[in-house]
Amino acid sequence: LAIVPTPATWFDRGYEEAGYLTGNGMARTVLVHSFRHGVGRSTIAANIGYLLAAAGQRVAIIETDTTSSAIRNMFRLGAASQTFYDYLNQRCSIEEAATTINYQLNGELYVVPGGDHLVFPGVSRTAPSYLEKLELARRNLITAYRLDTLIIDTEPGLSDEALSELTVPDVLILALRHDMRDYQGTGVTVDVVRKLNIARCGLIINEVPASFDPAVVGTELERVFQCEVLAVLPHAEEMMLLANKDIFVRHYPHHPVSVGLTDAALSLWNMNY
Amino acid sequence: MTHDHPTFSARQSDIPVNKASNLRFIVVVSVLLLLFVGGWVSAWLTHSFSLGAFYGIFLFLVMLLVVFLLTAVLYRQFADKVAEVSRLNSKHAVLLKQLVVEKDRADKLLNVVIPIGVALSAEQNFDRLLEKILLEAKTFCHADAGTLYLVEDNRQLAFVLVHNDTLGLATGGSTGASIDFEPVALYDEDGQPNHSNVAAHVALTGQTVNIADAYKAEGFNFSGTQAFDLQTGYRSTSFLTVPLKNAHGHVLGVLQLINASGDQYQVIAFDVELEQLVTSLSSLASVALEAYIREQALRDQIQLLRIEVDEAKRKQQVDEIVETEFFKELQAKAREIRKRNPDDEV
Repeated sequence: LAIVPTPATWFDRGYEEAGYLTGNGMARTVLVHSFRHGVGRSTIAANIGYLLAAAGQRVAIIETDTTSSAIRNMFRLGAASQTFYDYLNQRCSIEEAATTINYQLNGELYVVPGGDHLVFPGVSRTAPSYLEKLELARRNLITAYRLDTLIIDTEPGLSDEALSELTVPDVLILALRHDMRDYQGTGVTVDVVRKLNIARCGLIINEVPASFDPAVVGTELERVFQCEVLAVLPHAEEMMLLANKDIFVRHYPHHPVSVGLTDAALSLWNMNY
Repeated sequence: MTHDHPTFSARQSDIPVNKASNLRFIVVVSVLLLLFVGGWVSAWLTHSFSLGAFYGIFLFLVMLLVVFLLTAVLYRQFADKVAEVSRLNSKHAVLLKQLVVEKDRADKLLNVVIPIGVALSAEQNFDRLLEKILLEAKTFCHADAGTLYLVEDNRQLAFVLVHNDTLGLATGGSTGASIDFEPVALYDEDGQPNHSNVAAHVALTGQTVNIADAYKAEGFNFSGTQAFDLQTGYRSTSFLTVPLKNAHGHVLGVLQLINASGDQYQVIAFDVELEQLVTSLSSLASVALEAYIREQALRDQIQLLRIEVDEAKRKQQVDEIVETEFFKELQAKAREIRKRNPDDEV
């Protein structure tokens, strides 16, 4: 973390390196997971997706939590757009469920909202068929849109559904907050994930009290979990004010939280495989 | 300032009104005078020195007398007015002078004290922060020497920095030279407050003390200073002792400036106006000092931040998941998926 790139420098970098990753056929699947609800999983997924796309990658975000409307709200999608829920119930293909985001981006961004159904869908998620469906969705999206990065925003916890999803990615981002329950749960998640042959696992700690030294928090997390720390995001009043009505980095490009998210995106970008 | 003299402008505007009424009176008298003089002159020219003409002369003399008297009265009134105006003018001049002094003070506050305060809040190194406080105050007051004390355990004042330009002395802080002065106790053995030492007195009361000559000052015991003077050959004369108070009036330390120098480098007393400015400076310094102390305390606390994970529980929970049939199936499935698509293997 010697050089902290601001989003502005990030965009400069993106222009230079865009050609390096785009179109080399090596799509990467990033899964954003957390042990508990409400730690900012969807926010992290949406912002990192936005940053990568802004810098030139072709990115898609799938929200697999069919009871969530976070992605729909953040990208201000109309109620008519099709969802992952519709895909699971075979009402549409995954390509049809993906909505193109028309922001000023150097790359492309597609999002598949989860669908804000208050009850769980009829599809059993523990059945092997769910894993097959998710895997199929992943492949189809990557091929159809020639993606560089596919970000999956999962459901929290270590339920059987969540475990199924944890087998899919190349990179796993574990989101947590400064909370004892998160620390314990993340410890368990890290151990379980090690048995699933995921190439890379990184932590993003969210809403860290402003009085904490981010460097100290980072080192402490690394020591405890023996796991890479992608970003230490401070608690931000602006995040509360935004109330998930927009993409945070788009709204506050120079905020410390945006700088932290850019760090994380940069470290995903610079993976050399 | 003008608030002190609310009647000032009202009285000033009274003067022309009085003048105007006086002038009207003079005009009326002059017209009467001309009429009578005219009457007498015409009588004399026509050689008709009748009783009427004598009557005219008599009236003329009476009027002359009246005019003289009126002139005297008017002159007196004008003299009073003129005296009042000049008195008001001199009052005005005093106010103007005060205004200039205040303006100068505001300028100094704005251009000197506040920038120093800003520089102090930006200082990250504690020793350098303390040194900056002392040196800035010393330069600002043209003081030859200065001492900075910090309150320790609410019990005593420790010498933190001792600087003396004439003796070439700079100890404490980043200089690395240690100070061998004993701390000044704030309370004696019986728990009574120590008001005899000026620094202790200032720390206890939180009020600035300005002393023109330590050897002639009454009420304070300068034996420590005098011993120092005997030892070094220095002559400590004028003292300005200022508390470093936080927003709640809690004294964090004491700043003592010694021997203000005049234009000819002679030792003079500290200017009373300077005293106010140094008090302002010291309150800014205290804010920086307190912010530093608070931040340091917080950092110390955060250094202690330790993330605790119950390892036994963690292992048990991991085993619960990993050893299920479902998880083993998942592992196999995952391997199979990856094998089916070797391109994606990482």
